[in-house]
Amino acid sequence: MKLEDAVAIASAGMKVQGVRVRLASENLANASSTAAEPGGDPYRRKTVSFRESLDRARDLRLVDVARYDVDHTAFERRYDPAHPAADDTGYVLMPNVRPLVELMDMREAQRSYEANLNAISMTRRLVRQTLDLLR
Amino acid sequence: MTSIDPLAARLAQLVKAQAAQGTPGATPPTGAVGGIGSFESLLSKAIEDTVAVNHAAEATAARGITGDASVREVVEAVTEAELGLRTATAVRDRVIAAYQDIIRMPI
Repeated sequence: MKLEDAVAIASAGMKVQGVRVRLASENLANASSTAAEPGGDPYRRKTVSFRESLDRARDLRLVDVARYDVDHTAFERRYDPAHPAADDTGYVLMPNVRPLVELMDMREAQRSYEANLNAISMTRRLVRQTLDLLR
Repeated sequence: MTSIDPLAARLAQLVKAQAAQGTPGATPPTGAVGGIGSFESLLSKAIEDTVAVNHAAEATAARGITGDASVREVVEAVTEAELGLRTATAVRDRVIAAYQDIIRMPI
C-alpha cells in the first residue's frame, strides 16, 4: 500500500460521482418526457447505488457502481386532454422526477467529487514534500 | 508530444558509466542487498518502471485528446507518471551526489 495509491482510489470515487451527476442530469432532462402512446408509462426516474470493489491487479479497494435501478414511486397524473399521451379520461401520466431532489442529488455528487479532488491534490502535495526531504 | 525516452536512456547511460568508472575491471556486486541485485540494476529497473508508467500516461493523454478517455483518467495517469518521475529524479540526484562525494574523497 503506497501513498500514491490514494490517487487511484480518489479517482475511482470521482468516476462514480460522475455517474451520479450524469444520471441526475438525465433525470432532469427527462422531467417532462411522457409516453409515446396514449395511456402509456412516462419516463421513470433512474437511480444508481455504489459498492466497494477490489482491484486485484493493484490490490486496492476502490468504489464501483453496484447497480442501476429505477425509482418505482407512483407517477403524477395531470389533466390535459389535448396531450397526445392522454388516456380515455383525459389524464396524462408525468414522470416521477422531482427537480428539487435531482438538484440536491447533483449538489451532493458535486461535493463528493470535490472531496475526492482534494484527496488527490493533498496526496500529490504530501508526496512532493516527502521527496523534497532528499533535496 | 515530447517523450521522456531520451531522458531515461541518458539516465541509464549515466548510471552505467558511473558504475563502470567506480569499479574499474571489477564486476559489480550482485545479491548484495537482500537478493535485489546490484544497485545499478535496481536503479535501472526503477527507471524502466518509470518509463513504462510514462508511456501509459502518454497513451492515456493521447486517448484523452481524441475523446476516448475521460479527463479523470488522463489526470490520474499523468499524476501517477509525474509522481514516479519525481521519485526517480530525486533518487538519481541523491545517488549522483553520493557518488561525487566518494570521488572527491581524499585518499
